[in-house]
Amino acid sequence: MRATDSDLGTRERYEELRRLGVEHATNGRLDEAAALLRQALEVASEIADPDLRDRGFCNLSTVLVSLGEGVEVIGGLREILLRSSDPANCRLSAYNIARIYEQRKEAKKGLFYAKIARERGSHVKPEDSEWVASDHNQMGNFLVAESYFEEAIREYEAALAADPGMLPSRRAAICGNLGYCFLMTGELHKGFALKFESLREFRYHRSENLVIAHLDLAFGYLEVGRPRNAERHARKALETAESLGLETEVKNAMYLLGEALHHLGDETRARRQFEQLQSRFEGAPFLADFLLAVDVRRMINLRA
Amino acid sequence: MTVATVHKIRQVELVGRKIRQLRKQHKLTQTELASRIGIHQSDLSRMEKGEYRVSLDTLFRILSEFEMSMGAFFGEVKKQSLSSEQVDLLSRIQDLDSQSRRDVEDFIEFKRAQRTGPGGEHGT
Repeated sequence: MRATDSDLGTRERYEELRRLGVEHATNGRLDEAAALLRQALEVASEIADPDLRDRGFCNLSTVLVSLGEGVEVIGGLREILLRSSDPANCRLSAYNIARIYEQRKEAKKGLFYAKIARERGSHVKPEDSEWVASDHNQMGNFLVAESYFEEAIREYEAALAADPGMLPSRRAAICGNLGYCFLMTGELHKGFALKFESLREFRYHRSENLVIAHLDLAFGYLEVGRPRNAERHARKALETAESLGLETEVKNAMYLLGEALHHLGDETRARRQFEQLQSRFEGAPFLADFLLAVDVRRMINLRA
Repeated sequence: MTVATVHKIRQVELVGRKIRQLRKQHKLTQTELASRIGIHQSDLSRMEKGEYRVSLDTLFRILSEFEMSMGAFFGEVKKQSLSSEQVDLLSRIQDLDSQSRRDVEDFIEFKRAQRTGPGGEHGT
């Protein structure tokens, strides 16, 4: 089908709205980005180009998923994935569906779609190295959640290799993920090096990821028998997680802090910490006693 | 590192085995237990083998499912009656071979007899 002059004008409007939307999203102004990308999608609907419409929908979805509103778009994304022959749109659909499952902590379903995203992403033109890196990182995240740490390491390493020029903040996030896997698999030296590299970057940007970095370091220091350092990082993680209202991270930090205090021989404060944790779980009045008696560290996955 | 810490049970395999044992005691299949705690059967299977790590939430759901007190974990001893030092002592006794355990029991009986017998702490 030939594009008409009217189509060309409309396409230009679409491209401008899309460009502005992406710019807002990149700068963290998600609500503004969503509004612009909704307008872009409406404009795209006026053009007889289904791939463009799908792309508009995928771009809007990327922002809505970040806003936690994935439920609004998951049906549409599945539809695109099933019917579209455009690898880029398929990749974006699968990637965003996987992100929705990541938010719901449904790792198996997420892994299924992440694999599709990675496979479709490999058909996209080679210069989209950022996508390839994101796909590998996403795969890694699901594998970690499923306790497949060795496999996750391969994915994170592939992510770093795919896009050597990635933004420092992005690189720090992936290095942090990789560092966590090394801590879990006993490669502590590598794990600490990567965790500190990412911690420096997160501190510089005052990133929310600081919480994760401190949690991982608290865990790592417990592994190497340095509870004083573990306590320090667990406290920082707890303080930051509480200020950000991150409930799961608060509980993980409380647990690690209690564990660090117990390793320091301060049973009174360890018990107090575990009792605070216990108060966050209904129907488990035995937790504090249990945690003082049983070291569950090797059963716990902070990213599950 | 404290004595209590040294003797804390660290072996994830041991905890996994204990979960398997409790599941069987409660006559639950892996599928049934997994469904109750909201995880996949294959994950529970890997957990029992010590290959799968869970979130704190999931671990505590498992413990709650069995209403698992320290007593349950260490052999149906009432949890309220035990301090963590006592639990630690129990776990250390459990690590001994059967002959050594009998020796410990004999020694405990000897000490009890000393305490309650003529001339003992409470014997008069």
